[in-house]
Amino acid sequence: TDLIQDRTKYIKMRTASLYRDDFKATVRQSHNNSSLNKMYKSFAGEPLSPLSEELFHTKYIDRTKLGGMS
Amino acid sequence: MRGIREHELNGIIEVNRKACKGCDSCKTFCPTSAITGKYGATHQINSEKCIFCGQCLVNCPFGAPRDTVDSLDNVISRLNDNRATVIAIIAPAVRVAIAEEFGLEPGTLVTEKLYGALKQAGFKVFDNNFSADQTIMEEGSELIAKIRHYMLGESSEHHLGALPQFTSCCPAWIRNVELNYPELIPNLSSAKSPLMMAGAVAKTYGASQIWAVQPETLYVVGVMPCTAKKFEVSRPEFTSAADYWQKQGGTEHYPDVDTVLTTRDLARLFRKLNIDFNKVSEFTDNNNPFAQYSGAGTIFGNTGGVMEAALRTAYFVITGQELAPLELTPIRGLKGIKEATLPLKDVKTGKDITLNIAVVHGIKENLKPIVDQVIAGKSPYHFIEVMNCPGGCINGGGQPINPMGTSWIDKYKAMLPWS
Repeated sequence: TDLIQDRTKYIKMRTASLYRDDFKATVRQSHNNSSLNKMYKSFAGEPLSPLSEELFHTKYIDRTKLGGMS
Repeated sequence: MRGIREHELNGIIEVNRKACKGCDSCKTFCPTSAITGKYGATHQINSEKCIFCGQCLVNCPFGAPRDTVDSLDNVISRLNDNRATVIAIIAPAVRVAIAEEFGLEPGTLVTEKLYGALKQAGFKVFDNNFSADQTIMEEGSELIAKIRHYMLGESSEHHLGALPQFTSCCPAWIRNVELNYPELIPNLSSAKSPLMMAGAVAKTYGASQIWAVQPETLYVVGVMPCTAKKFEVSRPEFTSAADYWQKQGGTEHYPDVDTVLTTRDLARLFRKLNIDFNKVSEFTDNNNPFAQYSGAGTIFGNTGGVMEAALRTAYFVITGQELAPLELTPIRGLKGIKEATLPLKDVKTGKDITLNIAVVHGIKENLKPIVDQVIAGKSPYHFIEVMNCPGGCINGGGQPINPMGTSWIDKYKAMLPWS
């Protein structure tokens, strides 16, 4: 009996399942996702375009400088 | 309350004083030492340090830490409101864990059943794996622009951050940097997380070109294996879609993602709507443009998955050939820090580049050496994937609590009278 039960067993089972989902996929690279490429062609242009920068990129803040709230 | 801006959700994880036995199991998992309380005494979470990752919650043998944010009734009322179009953005890690809430084994892949149950509940599906692919395109392009600039000496019209580049899809890691390592902010990829990209796409391209609805009638729900995503969607800057429409005369204010349900919350919703997950009919949703994703997108839920997906695309863009084999085994698995080097021949200039990458997860034990190296300017890496939770998002703070995972040793010790 595995007295010290393997606490990562359920993690390994979930991990393996996602790798199976990848392995059986017909398309396995992001740049070959045709539906995504259609979104760029008909809307955002291309990655890092001005619209892509505006909608899909962001900035971060230094929270050590944030004063106390209220 | 330091470290929190107005309107940002706060105190997402709290300890139920009646259930806490003071066994300290949670402290061994908290990456930012946000939990106080002596051994044997009731513990408390300090929200100024807490990054809302929920690792205390999924590892406590007594279920004492709780997720205080419950938007089930909100979501259900929108599902019943026929003027609203309710969108479910499903994370990769949900499809390999939600079945555990209905008595099946961990790792049972239930994508079509999940689509079917969501359809029955009244949701339209937007698979976050579609936006995982999109994150690779945005983040990969940013990395490649840095490589061409810093390593090949080419000029770039983009405002480039520093190398090494850190991934930015884990909101607990982002809050951790903002609270504890602000000097690393220039190294974080500027790309939003897949969830926040999905929200922006849904309320612009989705509203106008796919569903043909007014963007303000969309109610976008992230279905995540993660409690920190509840904090992420409340960040005030994530109103890109409303800002986009305002430039074209729109007057409405709304966030890109309206709310987040964890995997546990979604299971509760199905039960509340008495949808029997095991008997629901499967739905492949083939002609839904937002249900199309690649194998690279779906492995985002595993530690090393974002890195492997990014390298598959970076390799193709730089060398002109597809990476073969696609499986990058050195960065798979549960080892705390994983490394790899990838030789590339630049098809434009013929030059050879060696890409050094690292993957770190379960950052309580494994982050410090990597971060110290970067701060000291001695990091050998170009690209570093950071996931807060051990194993990555498949073991996130919003996942079903698996008894295999909680420590029976701590539970047993706690039962004994304090000596």
